[in-house]
Amino acid sequence: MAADNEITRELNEVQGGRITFAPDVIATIASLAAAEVEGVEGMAGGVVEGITGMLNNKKSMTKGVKVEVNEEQVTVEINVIIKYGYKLHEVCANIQSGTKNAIETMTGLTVSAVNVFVSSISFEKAKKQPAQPAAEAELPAEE
Amino acid sequence: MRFNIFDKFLLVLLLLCVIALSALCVATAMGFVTFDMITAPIEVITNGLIGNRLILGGGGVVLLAIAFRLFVAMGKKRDAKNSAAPMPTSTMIMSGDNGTAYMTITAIDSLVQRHCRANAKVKECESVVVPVGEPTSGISIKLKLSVAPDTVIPELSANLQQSLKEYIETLCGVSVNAIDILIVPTQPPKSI
Repeated sequence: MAADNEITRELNEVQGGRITFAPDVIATIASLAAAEVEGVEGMAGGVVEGITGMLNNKKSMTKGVKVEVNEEQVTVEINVIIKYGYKLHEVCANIQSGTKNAIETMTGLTVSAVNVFVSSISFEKAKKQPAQPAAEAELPAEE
Repeated sequence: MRFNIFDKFLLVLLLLCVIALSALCVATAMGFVTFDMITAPIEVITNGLIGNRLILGGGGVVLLAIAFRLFVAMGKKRDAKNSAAPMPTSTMIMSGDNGTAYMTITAIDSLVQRHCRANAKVKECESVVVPVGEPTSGISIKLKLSVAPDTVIPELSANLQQSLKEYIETLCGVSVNAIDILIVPTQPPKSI
């Protein structure tokens, strides 16, 4: 089963050989790339991942990321928590482009799709206003 | 077959009894439990006080009831309410060459709550976000509001519908098809 999950990319015939990626490698790259996008609070994992992380006292680098492999194409699913005040569709577009670029650059694999799931919004009190022109709609409280 | 939590608990109890019985059978077959060890308690129960017979009979009735209950539960069909399609838990924000982005209904609802409660005239707010048809068709929002006593309700409703629609569409990129508002009575002020 491990061999089926591994991603293999054949080098060209001149050089020969084979490069094989463990599934977690792609997921880790995707997770780090997504976390670097402005507006992303963090990755959203499931209940099992949370409990496992607590028991192991170890931060999972692949939390909230699922990778599917089809021949040499990769499909990535990312669950994120986005900070309040940022335009979600813009942040999601940045996550998609950043993740795709990171994977294709670092592994040479082709990313067919990066699907983003926004699981929740983080309303933590910011110490300062975000520098980006965040889409703060005028609140009617000023009436 | 439709087992609820209680039925599953009964099934576990029944299976534990079956495990105990099977262990007894195996132990008897292997000679760890002799025939005398089995007949001695049976004789006490059947030849003893009426209380022992009642306990034995009661235990049998309980096991029979459990088995009958599970037998009935096996034949239960999902009722119409449970057989309805589950409510979708997310809606699509955008779709492009790089993939698709979805947002959970819970996250949208949290934004709706934040926007409504920011209005000083709104005292309490209950909200339900419902995706409309296909994931690309947008959402509709249902609000149940308790407002301050001196509120001009038509004006508040119109302003809230407009501002909430702009707020959600700007932040989430999801089209808001309808915002239904129900104003419910507020708690009257306590008279001194």
